[in-house]
Amino acid sequence: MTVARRRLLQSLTAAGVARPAAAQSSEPGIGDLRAIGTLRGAPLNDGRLRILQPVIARRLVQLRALRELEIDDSVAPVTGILVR
Amino acid sequence: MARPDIVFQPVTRLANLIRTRKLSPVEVVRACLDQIDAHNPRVNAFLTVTAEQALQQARTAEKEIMGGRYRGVLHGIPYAPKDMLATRGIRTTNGSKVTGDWIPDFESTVTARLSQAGAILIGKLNLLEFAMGSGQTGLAGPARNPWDLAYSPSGSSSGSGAAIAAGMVPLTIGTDSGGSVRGPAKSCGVVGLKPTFGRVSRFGVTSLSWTLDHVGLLARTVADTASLLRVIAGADPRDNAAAARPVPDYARSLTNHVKGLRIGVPTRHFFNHVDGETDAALRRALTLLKDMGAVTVPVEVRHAGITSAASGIILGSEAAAFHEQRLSRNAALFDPLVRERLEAGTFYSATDYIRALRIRTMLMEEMHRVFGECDVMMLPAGNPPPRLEGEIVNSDAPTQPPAPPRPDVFNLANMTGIPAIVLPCGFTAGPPVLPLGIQFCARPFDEVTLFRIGHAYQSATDWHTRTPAMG
Repeated sequence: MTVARRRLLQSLTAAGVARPAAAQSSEPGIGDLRAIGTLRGAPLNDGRLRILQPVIARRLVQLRALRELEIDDSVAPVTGILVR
Repeated sequence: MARPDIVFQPVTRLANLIRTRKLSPVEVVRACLDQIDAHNPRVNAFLTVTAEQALQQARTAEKEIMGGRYRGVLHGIPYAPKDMLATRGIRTTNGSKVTGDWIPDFESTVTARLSQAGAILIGKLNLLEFAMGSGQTGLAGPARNPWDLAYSPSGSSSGSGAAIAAGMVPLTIGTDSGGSVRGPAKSCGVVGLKPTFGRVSRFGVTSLSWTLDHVGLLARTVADTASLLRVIAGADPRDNAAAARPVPDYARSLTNHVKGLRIGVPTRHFFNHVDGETDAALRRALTLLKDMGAVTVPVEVRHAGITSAASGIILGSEAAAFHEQRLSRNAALFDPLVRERLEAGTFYSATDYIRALRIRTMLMEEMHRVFGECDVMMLPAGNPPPRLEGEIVNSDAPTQPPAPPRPDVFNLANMTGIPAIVLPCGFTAGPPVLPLGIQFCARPFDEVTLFRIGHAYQSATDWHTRTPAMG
Protein backbone atom coordinates (compact mmCIF):
# COMPACT_ATOMS: atom_id res chain seq x y z
CA MET A 1 0.00 0.00 0.00
CA THR A 2 1.41 3.39 -0.92
CA VAL A 3 0.71 6.58 0.97
CA ALA A 4 0.75 9.90 -0.83
CA ARG A 5 3.07 12.47 0.75
CA ARG A 6 0.26 14.99 1.06
CA ARG A 7 -1.99 12.40 2.70
CA LEU A 8 0.81 11.36 5.06
CA LEU A 9 1.45 14.93 6.21
CA GLN A 10 -2.26 15.41 6.78
CA SER A 11 -2.35 12.26 8.87
CA LEU A 12 0.68 13.13 10.94
CA THR A 13 -0.72 16.55 11.59
CA ALA A 14 -4.08 15.17 12.60
CA ALA A 15 -2.46 12.71 15.00
CA GLY A 16 -0.35 15.47 16.46
CA VAL A 17 3.00 14.11 15.27
CA ALA A 18 3.49 17.20 13.13
CA ARG A 19 1.71 20.20 14.52
CA PRO A 20 0.95 23.38 12.70
CA ALA A 21 -1.05 25.51 15.11
CA ALA A 22 -4.10 25.49 12.87
CA ALA A 23 -4.31 21.72 13.11
CA GLN A 24 -4.04 21.53 16.89
CA SER A 25 -7.73 21.08 17.51
CA SER A 26 -8.42 18.48 14.82
CA GLU A 27 -9.07 14.88 15.77
CA PRO A 28 -7.62 11.99 13.80
CA GLY A 29 -10.03 9.99 11.70
CA ILE A 30 -9.86 6.29 10.86
CA GLY A 31 -8.09 7.07 7.59
CA ASP A 32 -5.45 9.10 9.40
CA LEU A 33 -4.74 6.32 11.85
CA ARG A 34 -4.63 3.75 9.04
CA ALA A 35 -1.99 5.82 7.24
CA ILE A 36 0.12 6.18 10.39
CA GLY A 37 -0.14 2.47 11.08
CA THR A 38 1.09 1.76 7.59
CA LEU A 39 3.93 4.23 7.98
CA ARG A 40 5.18 2.61 11.19
CA GLY A 41 5.04 -0.85 9.62
CA ALA A 42 2.28 -2.24 11.83
CA PRO A 43 -1.02 -1.65 10.06
CA LEU A 44 -4.23 -2.23 12.02
CA ASN A 45 -7.54 -3.26 10.48
CA ASP A 46 -10.48 -0.91 10.44
CA GLY A 47 -12.16 -2.73 13.31
CA ARG A 48 -9.19 -2.11 15.57
CA LEU A 49 -8.87 1.47 14.35
CA ARG A 50 -12.50 2.16 15.19
CA ILE A 51 -11.82 0.99 18.77
CA LEU A 52 -8.66 3.06 19.04
CA GLN A 53 -9.90 6.27 17.46
CA PRO A 54 -11.75 7.63 20.54
CA VAL A 55 -8.94 6.50 22.85
CA ILE A 56 -6.33 8.33 20.80
CA ALA A 57 -8.56 11.36 20.42
CA ARG A 58 -8.89 11.52 24.19
CA ARG A 59 -5.15 11.15 24.69
CA LEU A 60 -4.53 13.96 22.23
CA VAL A 61 -6.08 16.33 24.71
CA GLN A 62 -3.40 15.37 27.24
CA LEU A 63 -0.68 15.48 24.60
CA ARG A 64 -1.62 19.00 23.63
CA ALA A 65 -1.40 20.08 27.25
CA LEU A 66 2.13 18.69 27.39
CA ARG A 67 3.11 20.29 24.12
CA GLU A 68 1.92 23.68 25.25
CA LEU A 69 4.10 23.60 28.36
CA GLU A 70 7.10 25.92 28.06
CA ILE A 71 10.26 23.99 28.89
CA ASP A 72 13.55 25.79 29.30
CA ASP A 73 16.26 24.77 26.84
CA SER A 74 18.48 23.80 29.75
CA VAL A 75 16.14 20.96 30.77
CA ALA A 76 17.44 17.65 29.42
CA PRO A 77 15.45 14.43 29.50
CA VAL A 78 15.98 12.09 32.41
CA THR A 79 18.56 9.51 31.41
CA GLY A 80 18.92 7.78 34.76
CA ILE A 81 16.33 7.97 37.49
CA LEU A 82 18.76 8.30 40.36
CA VAL A 83 22.51 8.27 40.83
CA ARG A 84 23.63 4.83 41.87
CA MET B 1 -2.29 -20.12 69.49
CA ALA B 2 -5.52 -21.06 67.70
CA ARG B 3 -5.41 -20.88 63.92
CA PRO B 4 -7.98 -18.07 63.59
CA ASP B 5 -5.79 -16.00 65.91
CA ILE B 6 -2.68 -16.63 63.82
CA VAL B 7 -3.83 -15.31 60.48
CA PHE B 8 -4.31 -11.67 61.42
CA GLN B 9 -1.18 -11.38 63.57
CA PRO B 10 1.62 -9.09 62.41
CA VAL B 11 4.86 -10.73 61.31
CA THR B 12 6.79 -9.20 64.20
CA ARG B 13 4.59 -11.09 66.68
CA LEU B 14 4.62 -14.35 64.71
CA ALA B 15 8.40 -14.13 64.37
CA ASN B 16 8.84 -13.65 68.08
CA LEU B 17 6.73 -16.74 68.79
CA ILE B 18 8.57 -18.78 66.16
CA ARG B 19 12.00 -17.67 67.39
CA THR B 20 11.14 -18.65 70.96
CA ARG B 21 9.68 -21.99 69.70
CA LYS B 22 6.20 -21.22 71.03
CA LEU B 23 4.77 -21.45 67.52
CA SER B 24 5.79 -23.73 64.67
CA PRO B 25 6.09 -22.48 61.07
CA VAL B 26 3.99 -25.54 60.19
CA GLU B 27 1.12 -24.19 62.30
CA VAL B 28 1.43 -20.78 60.65
CA VAL B 29 1.44 -22.22 57.14
CA ARG B 30 -1.52 -24.51 57.92
CA ALA B 31 -3.48 -21.56 59.32
CA CYS B 32 -2.85 -19.57 56.16
CA LEU B 33 -3.78 -22.52 53.93
CA ASP B 34 -7.02 -22.98 55.89
CA GLN B 35 -7.82 -19.31 55.43
CA ILE B 36 -7.11 -19.56 51.69
CA ASP B 37 -9.35 -22.64 51.42
CA ALA B 38 -12.14 -20.86 53.26
CA HIS B 39 -12.08 -17.52 51.47
CA ASN B 40 -10.20 -17.68 48.18
CA PRO B 41 -13.17 -19.07 46.22
CA ARG B 42 -14.87 -15.71 46.79
CA VAL B 43 -11.95 -13.28 47.21
CA ASN B 44 -9.95 -14.78 44.29
CA ALA B 45 -6.67 -13.37 45.58
CA PHE B 46 -4.56 -16.45 44.76
CA LEU B 47 -4.04 -17.79 41.25
CA THR B 48 -1.81 -20.63 42.44
CA VAL B 49 -1.46 -22.20 45.90
CA THR B 50 1.74 -24.15 46.54
CA ALA B 51 0.40 -25.99 49.57
CA GLU B 52 2.58 -29.12 49.56
CA GLN B 53 5.78 -27.23 48.85
CA ALA B 54 4.94 -24.67 51.53
CA LEU B 55 4.27 -27.32 54.14
CA GLN B 56 7.52 -29.08 53.26
CA GLN B 57 9.45 -25.81 53.62
CA ALA B 58 7.66 -25.15 56.93
CA ARG B 59 8.75 -28.54 58.27
CA THR B 60 12.33 -27.77 57.19
CA ALA B 61 12.17 -24.37 58.88
CA GLU B 62 10.81 -25.97 62.04
CA LYS B 63 13.74 -28.41 62.12
CA GLU B 64 16.26 -25.64 61.55
CA ILE B 65 14.81 -23.47 64.30
CA MET B 66 14.53 -26.34 66.74
CA GLY B 67 18.18 -27.08 65.91
CA GLY B 68 19.18 -23.55 66.86
CA ARG B 69 19.63 -22.29 63.29
CA TYR B 70 17.20 -19.35 63.33
CA ARG B 71 17.85 -17.18 60.26
CA GLY B 72 15.98 -14.02 61.21
CA VAL B 73 12.61 -12.36 61.40
CA LEU B 74 11.21 -13.88 58.19
CA HIS B 75 12.28 -17.45 58.97
CA GLY B 76 9.18 -19.64 58.79
CA ILE B 77 6.91 -16.76 57.75
CA PRO B 78 4.63 -17.35 54.72
CA TYR B 79 4.52 -14.81 51.91
CA ALA B 80 3.13 -14.56 48.39
CA PRO B 81 4.23 -12.51 45.37
CA LYS B 82 2.15 -10.98 42.62
CA ASP B 83 2.18 -13.41 39.72
CA MET B 84 4.60 -11.23 37.76
CA LEU B 85 7.63 -12.42 39.73
CA ALA B 86 9.34 -15.41 38.18
CA THR B 87 9.43 -18.48 40.40
CA ARG B 88 11.50 -21.41 39.20
CA GLY B 89 9.33 -24.41 38.42
CA ILE B 90 6.12 -22.64 39.48
CA ARG B 91 3.63 -21.27 36.95
CA THR B 92 4.01 -17.51 36.50
CA THR B 93 1.07 -16.18 34.51
CA ASN B 94 1.23 -12.37 34.61
CA GLY B 95 -2.54 -12.71 34.94
CA SER B 96 -2.72 -13.27 31.20
CA LYS B 97 -3.83 -15.97 28.80
CA VAL B 98 -0.80 -14.97 26.74
CA THR B 99 1.60 -16.32 29.37
CA GLY B 100 -0.87 -18.48 31.29
CA ASP B 101 1.24 -21.64 31.11
CA TRP B 102 4.71 -20.13 31.55
CA ILE B 103 6.88 -22.04 34.02
CA PRO B 104 10.14 -20.10 34.49
CA ASP B 105 13.46 -21.88 34.79
CA PHE B 106 14.87 -19.05 36.89
CA GLU B 107 14.02 -17.19 40.08
CA SER B 108 13.43 -13.47 40.60
CA THR B 109 15.95 -11.80 42.90
CA VAL B 110 13.20 -10.84 45.36
CA THR B 111 11.81 -14.35 45.78
CA ALA B 112 15.34 -15.78 45.91
CA ARG B 113 16.26 -13.41 48.75
CA LEU B 114 13.08 -14.23 50.64
CA SER B 115 13.80 -17.92 50.29
CA GLN B 116 17.35 -17.36 51.53
CA ALA B 117 15.91 -15.57 54.58
CA GLY B 118 13.74 -18.60 55.33
CA ALA B 119 10.42 -17.10 54.22
CA ILE B 120 7.95 -19.62 52.78
CA LEU B 121 6.28 -19.07 49.44
CA ILE B 122 2.65 -20.13 49.80
CA GLY B 123 1.35 -19.23 46.34
CA LYS B 124 1.10 -16.64 43.58
CA LEU B 125 -1.30 -13.73 43.58
CA ASN B 126 -3.94 -12.39 41.21
CA LEU B 127 -3.38 -9.11 39.38
CA LEU B 128 -4.64 -7.01 36.52
CA GLU B 129 -3.26 -8.55 33.34
CA PHE B 130 0.37 -7.50 32.80
CA ALA B 131 -0.31 -4.87 35.50
CA MET B 132 -2.47 -2.85 33.11
CA GLY B 133 -5.65 -4.80 32.45
CA SER B 134 -9.30 -4.30 33.24
CA GLY B 135 -9.33 -6.87 36.01
CA GLN B 136 -12.48 -8.31 34.47
CA THR B 137 -11.39 -10.44 31.55
CA GLY B 138 -7.88 -11.60 32.37
CA LEU B 139 -6.82 -15.14 33.20
CA ALA B 140 -8.95 -15.75 36.28
CA GLY B 141 -11.36 -12.88 36.74
CA PRO B 142 -11.05 -10.13 39.30
CA ALA B 143 -9.83 -10.36 42.87
CA ARG B 144 -12.40 -8.96 45.26
CA ASN B 145 -12.13 -6.62 48.20
CA PRO B 146 -12.45 -8.57 51.48
CA TRP B 147 -14.10 -5.55 53.09
CA ASP B 148 -16.96 -5.80 50.59
CA LEU B 149 -16.85 -8.41 47.87
CA ALA B 150 -18.84 -6.22 45.49
CA TYR B 151 -15.91 -3.81 45.38
CA SER B 152 -12.50 -3.89 43.77
CA PRO B 153 -9.35 -4.22 45.88
CA SER B 154 -7.89 -1.78 43.29
CA GLY B 155 -5.02 -2.73 41.04
CA SER B 156 -2.89 -3.78 39.61
CA SER B 157 -1.56 -5.72 42.63
CA SER B 158 -5.15 -6.61 43.48
CA GLY B 159 -4.45 -10.04 44.96
CA SER B 160 -1.53 -8.67 46.98
CA GLY B 161 -3.81 -6.29 48.86
CA ALA B 162 -6.79 -8.63 49.13
CA ALA B 163 -4.74 -11.59 50.45
CA ILE B 164 -3.41 -9.63 53.42
CA ALA B 165 -6.76 -8.04 54.24
CA ALA B 166 -8.36 -11.50 54.16
CA GLY B 167 -5.74 -12.96 56.53
CA MET B 168 -4.53 -15.44 53.89
CA VAL B 169 -0.88 -14.43 54.24
CA PRO B 170 0.92 -11.79 56.31
CA LEU B 171 3.33 -10.47 53.65
CA THR B 172 2.93 -9.93 49.92
CA ILE B 173 4.96 -8.50 47.07
CA GLY B 174 3.49 -6.32 44.35
CA THR B 175 4.68 -4.02 41.63
CA ASP B 176 4.02 -0.29 41.36
CA SER B 177 4.43 1.70 38.13
CA GLY B 178 1.72 4.27 38.91
CA GLY B 179 0.21 3.32 42.25
CA SER B 180 -0.30 -0.42 41.74
CA VAL B 181 0.87 -1.28 45.26
CA ARG B 182 -0.34 1.83 47.05
CA GLY B 183 -3.85 1.73 45.55
CA PRO B 184 -4.59 -1.83 46.68
CA ALA B 185 -3.02 -1.09 50.08
CA LYS B 186 -5.39 1.83 50.53
CA SER B 187 -8.45 -0.03 49.26
CA CYS B 188 -7.74 -3.09 51.43
CA GLY B 189 -6.75 -1.23 54.61
CA VAL B 190 -3.15 -2.47 54.76
CA VAL B 191 0.32 -0.91 54.49
CA GLY B 192 1.83 -0.51 51.04
CA LEU B 193 5.35 0.71 50.30
CA LYS B 194 6.80 1.75 46.97
CA PRO B 195 10.50 1.99 47.77
CA THR B 196 12.93 4.34 46.05
CA PHE B 197 13.66 3.49 42.41
CA GLY B 198 16.65 1.14 42.52
CA ARG B 199 16.19 0.15 46.17
CA VAL B 200 14.83 -3.31 45.23
CA SER B 201 16.00 -5.37 42.27
CA ARG B 202 13.53 -6.01 39.48
CA PHE B 203 15.35 -8.99 38.03
CA GLY B 204 12.81 -11.65 37.17
CA VAL B 205 9.85 -9.27 37.39
CA THR B 206 7.84 -8.91 34.18
CA SER B 207 8.10 -5.32 32.96
CA LEU B 208 5.31 -2.88 32.43
CA SER B 209 7.41 0.27 32.04
CA TRP B 210 11.16 -0.02 32.53
CA THR B 211 11.66 3.46 33.95
CA LEU B 212 8.53 3.57 36.12
CA ASP B 213 8.41 0.00 37.50
CA HIS B 214 9.14 -0.61 41.17
CA VAL B 215 8.81 -3.75 43.28
CA GLY B 216 6.55 -2.89 46.23
CA LEU B 217 5.69 -4.44 49.58
CA LEU B 218 2.43 -4.97 51.43
CA ALA B 219 1.90 -5.97 55.05
CA ARG B 220 -0.37 -5.37 57.98
CA THR B 221 2.02 -3.04 59.83
CA VAL B 222 4.82 -0.61 59.10
CA ALA B 223 7.16 -2.71 61.25
CA ASP B 224 6.45 -5.76 59.08
CA THR B 225 7.09 -3.71 55.96
CA ALA B 226 10.42 -2.56 57.36
CA SER B 227 11.44 -6.16 58.09
CA LEU B 228 10.55 -7.21 54.57
CA LEU B 229 12.39 -4.34 52.88
CA ARG B 230 15.53 -5.07 54.88
CA VAL B 231 15.61 -8.57 53.36
CA ILE B 232 14.81 -7.82 49.72
CA ALA B 233 16.63 -4.47 49.20
CA GLY B 234 20.15 -4.06 47.90
CA ALA B 235 22.44 -4.18 44.90
CA ASP B 236 21.97 -6.82 42.23
CA PRO B 237 24.30 -7.27 39.25
CA ARG B 238 21.36 -8.69 37.26
CA ASP B 239 19.41 -5.40 37.47
CA ASN B 240 21.53 -2.47 36.33
CA ALA B 241 19.09 -0.04 37.98
CA ALA B 242 19.51 -1.64 41.42
CA ALA B 243 21.34 0.79 43.67
CA ALA B 244 24.61 -0.16 45.33
CA ARG B 245 23.84 1.85 48.46
CA PRO B 246 23.97 0.00 51.78
CA VAL B 247 20.65 -1.15 53.22
CA PRO B 248 19.94 0.42 56.62
CA ASP B 249 18.67 -1.48 59.63
CA TYR B 250 15.17 -0.11 59.26
CA ALA B 251 14.02 -1.52 62.60
CA ARG B 252 16.03 1.24 64.30
CA SER B 253 13.69 3.83 62.78
CA LEU B 254 10.69 2.31 64.53
CA THR B 255 10.56 4.76 67.39
CA ASN B 256 7.38 6.61 68.24
CA HIS B 257 9.10 9.96 67.98
CA VAL B 258 8.02 12.49 65.36
CA LYS B 259 8.79 15.61 67.37
CA GLY B 260 9.99 18.30 65.01
CA LEU B 261 9.36 16.22 61.88
CA ARG B 262 8.27 18.55 59.09
CA ILE B 263 5.24 17.29 57.15
CA GLY B 264 4.77 19.07 53.84
CA VAL B 265 1.14 19.56 52.88
CA PRO B 266 0.61 20.52 49.22
CA THR B 267 -1.37 23.67 48.75
CA ARG B 268 -2.93 22.61 45.45
CA HIS B 269 -3.59 19.90 42.88
CA PHE B 270 -3.34 16.70 44.93
CA PHE B 271 -6.54 17.32 46.85
CA ASN B 272 -8.62 17.95 43.73
CA HIS B 273 -11.45 15.40 43.51
CA VAL B 274 -10.74 13.92 46.95
CA ASP B 275 -14.02 12.82 48.53
CA GLY B 276 -15.23 14.31 51.78
CA GLU B 277 -14.66 11.29 54.02
CA THR B 278 -11.08 10.86 52.82
CA ASP B 279 -10.41 14.57 53.29
CA ALA B 280 -11.75 14.47 56.86
CA ALA B 281 -9.68 11.36 57.68
CA LEU B 282 -6.51 13.04 56.38
CA ARG B 283 -7.16 16.10 58.50
CA ARG B 284 -7.64 13.94 61.59
CA ALA B 285 -4.38 12.13 60.87
CA LEU B 286 -2.50 15.41 60.52
CA THR B 287 -3.98 16.73 63.75
CA LEU B 288 -2.87 13.58 65.56
CA LEU B 289 0.67 13.81 64.18
CA LYS B 290 0.87 17.47 65.16
CA ASP B 291 -0.29 16.54 68.66
CA MET B 292 2.63 14.09 68.70
CA GLY B 293 5.08 16.88 67.91
CA ALA B 294 5.28 16.98 64.12
CA VAL B 295 4.87 20.30 62.33
CA THR B 296 3.14 20.97 59.03
CA VAL B 297 4.47 23.25 56.33
CA PRO B 298 2.73 24.26 53.10
CA VAL B 299 4.51 23.08 49.95
CA GLU B 300 3.85 23.41 46.26
CA VAL B 301 4.73 21.08 43.39
CA ARG B 302 4.30 23.51 40.55
CA HIS B 303 4.06 21.01 37.69
CA ALA B 304 2.03 18.41 39.56
CA GLY B 305 -0.87 18.94 37.16
CA ILE B 306 1.11 17.67 34.19
CA THR B 307 2.49 14.58 35.93
CA SER B 308 -0.25 12.19 34.93
CA ALA B 309 -0.13 13.07 31.24
CA ALA B 310 3.66 12.78 31.10
CA SER B 311 3.58 9.52 33.01
CA GLY B 312 0.94 8.16 30.64
CA ILE B 313 3.14 8.76 27.60
CA ILE B 314 6.16 7.12 29.21
CA LEU B 315 4.22 4.12 30.46
CA GLY B 316 2.24 3.72 27.24
CA SER B 317 5.32 3.96 25.03
CA GLU B 318 7.47 1.62 27.11
CA ALA B 319 4.70 -0.95 27.53
CA ALA B 320 3.99 -0.91 23.79
CA ALA B 321 7.69 -1.48 23.10
CA PHE B 322 7.95 -4.29 25.69
CA HIS B 323 4.92 -6.18 24.35
CA GLU B 324 5.42 -5.42 20.65
CA GLN B 325 6.17 -8.99 19.57
CA ARG B 326 3.62 -10.63 21.87
CA LEU B 327 0.97 -8.27 20.55
CA SER B 328 1.78 -9.04 16.91
CA ARG B 329 1.63 -12.80 17.57
CA ASN B 330 -1.17 -13.18 20.13
CA ALA B 331 -3.30 -10.05 20.00
CA ALA B 332 -6.56 -11.94 20.48
CA LEU B 333 -5.38 -13.49 23.75
CA PHE B 334 -4.90 -10.13 25.48
CA ASP B 335 -7.49 -8.55 27.74
CA PRO B 336 -9.25 -6.10 25.38
CA LEU B 337 -8.21 -3.16 27.55
CA VAL B 338 -4.54 -4.20 27.55
CA ARG B 339 -4.64 -4.65 23.79
CA GLU B 340 -6.26 -1.24 23.38
CA ARG B 341 -3.65 0.43 25.57
CA LEU B 342 -0.72 -1.26 23.87
CA GLU B 343 -1.97 -0.44 20.40
CA ALA B 344 -2.70 3.16 21.37
CA GLY B 345 0.80 3.41 22.85
CA THR B 346 2.35 2.89 19.42
CA PHE B 347 0.89 6.21 18.25
CA TYR B 348 3.05 8.35 20.55
CA SER B 349 5.95 10.04 18.82
CA ALA B 350 9.57 10.02 19.96
CA THR B 351 9.45 13.75 20.57
CA ASP B 352 6.43 13.32 22.83
CA TYR B 353 8.28 10.66 24.80
CA ILE B 354 11.35 12.86 25.17
CA ARG B 355 9.21 15.82 26.20
CA ALA B 356 7.71 13.63 28.92
CA LEU B 357 11.23 12.74 30.07
CA ARG B 358 12.14 16.42 30.23
CA ILE B 359 9.07 17.06 32.38
CA ARG B 360 10.30 14.24 34.56
CA THR B 361 13.57 16.14 35.04
CA MET B 362 11.60 19.20 36.10
CA LEU B 363 9.54 17.18 38.58
CA MET B 364 12.67 15.66 40.13
CA GLU B 365 14.16 19.12 40.58
CA GLU B 366 10.92 20.34 42.12
CA MET B 367 10.85 17.48 44.59
CA HIS B 368 14.46 18.20 45.53
CA ARG B 369 13.35 21.73 46.37
CA VAL B 370 10.24 20.54 48.23
CA PHE B 371 12.30 18.24 50.43
CA GLY B 372 14.43 21.20 51.39
CA GLU B 373 11.31 22.57 53.06
CA CYS B 374 9.96 19.38 54.64
CA ASP B 375 11.02 15.86 55.67
CA VAL B 376 7.98 14.04 54.30
CA MET B 377 5.15 15.16 52.06
CA MET B 378 1.63 14.02 52.89
CA LEU B 379 -0.74 13.10 50.05
CA PRO B 380 -4.12 11.43 49.81
CA ALA B 381 -4.04 7.77 48.78
CA GLY B 382 -7.04 8.01 46.49
CA ASN B 383 -10.76 7.64 46.95
CA PRO B 384 -12.64 4.48 47.96
CA PRO B 385 -12.46 1.78 45.25
CA PRO B 386 -15.03 1.25 42.48
CA ARG B 387 -17.72 -1.43 42.42
CA LEU B 388 -16.73 -4.45 40.37
CA GLU B 389 -19.97 -5.62 38.83
CA GLY B 390 -20.50 -4.42 35.29
CA GLU B 391 -17.66 -1.97 35.54
CA ILE B 392 -14.37 -2.03 33.72
CA VAL B 393 -11.75 -0.86 36.15
CA ASN B 394 -9.31 1.75 34.84
CA SER B 395 -10.71 1.82 31.32
CA ASP B 396 -9.12 4.21 28.87
CA ALA B 397 -12.21 4.32 26.72
CA PRO B 398 -14.86 7.01 27.17
CA THR B 399 -17.70 5.76 29.36
CA GLN B 400 -21.35 6.71 29.64
CA PRO B 401 -21.92 8.23 32.08
CA PRO B 402 -18.36 9.56 32.37
CA ALA B 403 -16.34 8.08 35.21
CA PRO B 404 -16.02 10.44 38.18
CA PRO B 405 -12.74 12.38 38.22
CA ARG B 406 -10.11 10.83 40.47
CA PRO B 407 -7.33 12.52 42.37
CA ASP B 408 -3.93 11.99 40.78
CA VAL B 409 -1.85 11.07 43.78
CA PHE B 410 0.44 8.21 42.79
CA ASN B 411 2.33 9.02 39.58
CA LEU B 412 4.57 11.69 41.09
CA ALA B 413 6.52 9.13 43.14
CA ASN B 414 7.00 6.85 40.13
CA MET B 415 8.08 9.73 37.90
CA THR B 416 10.62 11.01 40.40
CA GLY B 417 11.65 7.72 41.98
CA ILE B 418 11.00 8.90 45.54
CA PRO B 419 9.73 6.39 48.13
CA ALA B 420 6.09 6.50 49.21
CA ILE B 421 4.06 4.63 51.81
CA VAL B 422 0.30 4.23 52.26
CA LEU B 423 -1.31 3.51 55.63
CA PRO B 424 -4.93 2.91 56.64
CA CYS B 425 -6.35 6.03 58.32
CA GLY B 426 -10.05 5.33 58.72
CA PHE B 427 -13.14 3.85 57.11
CA THR B 428 -16.10 5.16 55.21
CA ALA B 429 -19.27 5.43 57.28
CA GLY B 430 -20.92 3.06 54.83
CA PRO B 431 -22.55 1.18 53.54
CA PRO B 432 -20.26 0.07 52.07
CA VAL B 433 -17.69 0.24 54.86
CA LEU B 434 -14.36 0.53 53.07
CA PRO B 435 -10.86 1.59 54.22
CA LEU B 436 -9.44 5.06 53.74
CA GLY B 437 -5.72 5.74 53.32
CA ILE B 438 -3.02 8.34 53.84
CA GLN B 439 0.21 8.56 51.86
CA PHE B 440 3.63 9.94 52.75
CA CYS B 441 6.56 10.52 50.37
CA ALA B 442 10.19 11.19 51.30
CA ARG B 443 13.59 11.96 49.81
CA PRO B 444 15.22 9.29 47.66
CA PHE B 445 16.46 6.37 49.80
CA ASP B 446 14.90 7.85 52.93
CA GLU B 447 12.53 4.97 53.66
CA VAL B 448 13.73 5.33 57.26
CA THR B 449 11.71 8.52 57.69
CA LEU B 450 8.63 6.94 56.12
CA PHE B 451 8.88 4.05 58.57
CA ARG B 452 9.42 6.47 61.42
CA ILE B 453 6.26 8.48 60.78
CA GLY B 454 4.23 5.45 59.74
CA HIS B 455 5.13 3.44 62.82
CA ALA B 456 4.43 6.41 65.09
CA TYR B 457 1.02 6.84 63.47
CA GLN B 458 0.18 3.14 63.81
CA SER B 459 1.31 3.18 67.43
CA ALA B 460 -1.28 5.86 68.14
CA THR B 461 -4.14 4.40 66.07
CA ASP B 462 -5.85 1.06 65.60
CA TRP B 463 -7.05 1.21 61.98
CA HIS B 464 -4.49 -1.44 60.97
CA THR B 465 -5.77 -3.90 63.58
CA ARG B 466 -9.29 -4.09 62.18
CA THR B 467 -10.26 -7.08 60.09
CA PRO B 468 -13.06 -7.63 57.60
CA ALA B 469 -16.03 -9.82 58.53
CA MET B 470 -16.04 -11.72 55.20
CA GLY B 471 -19.28 -13.36 56.31
